[in-house]
Amino acid sequence: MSWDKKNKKASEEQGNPEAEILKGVILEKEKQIDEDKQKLLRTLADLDNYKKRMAQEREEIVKLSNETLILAMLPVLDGMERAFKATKNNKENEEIIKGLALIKKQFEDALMKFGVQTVDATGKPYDPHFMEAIMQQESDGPEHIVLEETQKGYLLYNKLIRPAMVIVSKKKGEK
Amino acid sequence: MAEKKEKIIGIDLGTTNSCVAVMVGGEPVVIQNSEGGRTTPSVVSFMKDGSRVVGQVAKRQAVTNPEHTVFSIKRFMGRRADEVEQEKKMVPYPIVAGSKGEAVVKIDDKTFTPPEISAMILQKMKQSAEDYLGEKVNKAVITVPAYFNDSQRQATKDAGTIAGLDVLRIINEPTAASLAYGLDKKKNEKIAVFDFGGGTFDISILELGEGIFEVKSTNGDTHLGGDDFDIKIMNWIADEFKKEQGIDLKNDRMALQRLKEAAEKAKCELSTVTETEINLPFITADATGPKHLILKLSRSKLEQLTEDLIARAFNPCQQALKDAGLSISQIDEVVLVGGMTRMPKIQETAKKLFGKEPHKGVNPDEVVAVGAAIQGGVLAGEVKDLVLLDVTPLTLGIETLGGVMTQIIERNTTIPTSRSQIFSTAADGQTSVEIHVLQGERPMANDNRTLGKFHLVGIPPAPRGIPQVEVIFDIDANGIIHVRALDKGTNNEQKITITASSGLNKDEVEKMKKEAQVHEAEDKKKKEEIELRNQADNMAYTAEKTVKEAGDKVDAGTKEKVQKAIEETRKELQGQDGAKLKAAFENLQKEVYAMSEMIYKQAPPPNQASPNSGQEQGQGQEQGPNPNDGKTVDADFEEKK
Repeated sequence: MSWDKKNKKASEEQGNPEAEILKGVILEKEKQIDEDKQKLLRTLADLDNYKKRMAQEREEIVKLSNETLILAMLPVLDGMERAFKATKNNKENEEIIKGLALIKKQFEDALMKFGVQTVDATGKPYDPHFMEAIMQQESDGPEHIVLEETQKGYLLYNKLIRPAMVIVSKKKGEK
Repeated sequence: MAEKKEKIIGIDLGTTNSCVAVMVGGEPVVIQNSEGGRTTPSVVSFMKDGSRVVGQVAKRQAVTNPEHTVFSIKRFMGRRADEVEQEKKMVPYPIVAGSKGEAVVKIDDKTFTPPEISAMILQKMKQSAEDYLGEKVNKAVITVPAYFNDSQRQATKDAGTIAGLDVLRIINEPTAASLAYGLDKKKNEKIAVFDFGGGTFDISILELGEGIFEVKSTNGDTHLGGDDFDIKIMNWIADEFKKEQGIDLKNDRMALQRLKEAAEKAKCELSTVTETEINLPFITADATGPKHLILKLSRSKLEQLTEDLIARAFNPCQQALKDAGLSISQIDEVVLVGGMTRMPKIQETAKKLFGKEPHKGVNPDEVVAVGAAIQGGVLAGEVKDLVLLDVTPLTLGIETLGGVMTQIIERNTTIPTSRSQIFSTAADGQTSVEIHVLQGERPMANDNRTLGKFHLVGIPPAPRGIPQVEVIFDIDANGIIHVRALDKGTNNEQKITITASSGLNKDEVEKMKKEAQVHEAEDKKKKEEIELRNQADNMAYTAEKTVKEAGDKVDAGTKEKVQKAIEETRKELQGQDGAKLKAAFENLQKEVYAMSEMIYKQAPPPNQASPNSGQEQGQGQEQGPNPNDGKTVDADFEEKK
């Protein structure tokens, strides 16, 4: 420090041109260092943000890959639903049908464990956010009510992955 | 990077679907909407309760609300009511003439201009972008078909303004697609853009000169698209079922819904496989009980079914060429756009019509939005702002036991970077190791380029595999490689500095990469042989030591058997017969395991020096799993006593 001061003083007094040049060089370098430091900090921040985004995206990918798998499995469940509808009044093979119903339940339980829920539609007011209307039917009751679900809708962690296919009521005589 | 630049989004405002993309970190990203879709149906619906829904949700409720659900609004953009007599008949919502004779949509007692309806779609796209970016979005580039006239372009711009977007550019869809494939970097080319979407087919011939795209001609079919293909398949399924079961599914709305889904799924699947099964259990029922639908559809059958649809693309393409005054041979590039271009037959058709292998991306329905985003990025100055980081063009490593190159820094690693690995000695009492620094992709050291060599001396004598030598590679931002070897026991260190890749030019790098590919199979075999030799040598060494130290824990008979196996293996190690060596090695392994088991039962496990370790002239890897030793732990139990 003392050397510095002395040197500075000396240079000022004598107007030492070499010292002036060096001073300029140092200032230039300091500016350079400061700029580089800012750049480095920005780069580090960029990297950090990138890591965070990657982690988030990875999480989403895991969720999404489940979604694709679950969507591919749902037609199996639809098929079982339809099969049970068709065997409703079948008194033969009662135990076998009961057993198959238990298998269906196992399947549903497994899906539930991974965050799958069904859309509750029949008898509810029609809501296009969760239901796809495939047709309208005249009804004595109020209009815009779900009369029948032709295919169940499903949510995965509260996000709709497949809308319910529904028949919606309309007033008699309305076109 | 300098201060934050305002983002400019790119929007493909389509007839059936719309898509939005933006540049993030120099790369275009397609943004998902709130329902998770990468494209959004261009549908707006006015609900009975006065609310408004856009996109997938609007599409879902269309049958309950047909007169208030607006789709295909793009067909009415910038048109006068008297121009759209034909189009009017094809939509269920009423189109009337506005105050200036323009076509407007009538919803109950209110009217909406097409730009107003389009603005609702744009608003949803804008919202998706804002949610993704976490900031306000004010600026956009929007695409239009090349054939749009001034009034249609102005209407599109107005739609942006109504949606609160400053539309910096309106660009042609084929131009955006060409940008997405990076064709703007080429010079003086003629490009055919073949756009087969959900509802329209467009063909455009562009001429590129000095970075500017000029539209030479356009043609197309405004009512030809993927939906027509679905209907063909649906009809075929229904006809086949009727033939088989005598039941007409076309009268059954519920069955029809399932047919529609199955048809679309089959169409998509047949782009990647040559045959698919349409499996719809319990599709319907009659007095005899439930009926199932099961049909096989092959790709060639699909092509037959849709032959007439594909043929409708021929004339417009030929006409477009004629109008541009070009022959097939003058076309330099063919670009595919739109979901239907995933279909192999359509790709083939485009190739045949223009005589060039077309450019096709993974997501042909997103390329227009991606191109618009790239244009937005250029306007925002984002594309220039990139800092280019260098990579090492070839793999760096050192030679290890048996003349194998062990990789330390793989090629294409971004620099500056630093990597290290720990190695050990190959012989008992070895006091020096040679570090032979190599560059190249071949597994054998001899086939790669030597960058430098040095010795690390003064390692205290110890059994092989015990000393730890850390080899550190460091490449700085200028591509200068520093290699250090450090004896962890004594902290002795030696190093070498190799400047700038030793002057390998681009051609040499390419040559080396190619050589590596050419010799891949033989190199792999050679490497495997050497690995086997290393493993066998190691196993013999370890077995010998174990026998010596086992004392009375192992009976003489077993010891003798192991001894014999060791001799056999050593003999084969002198020879060149790989198969014989392998047999001898496996036998030795078996005997050693038997012996180890015997020792195990009585005492702690003996040392099994790692098989990869050691090298005649230098060092071998010490870390890593022990492939021929499933049971024993790699513990230096006896040595450390």
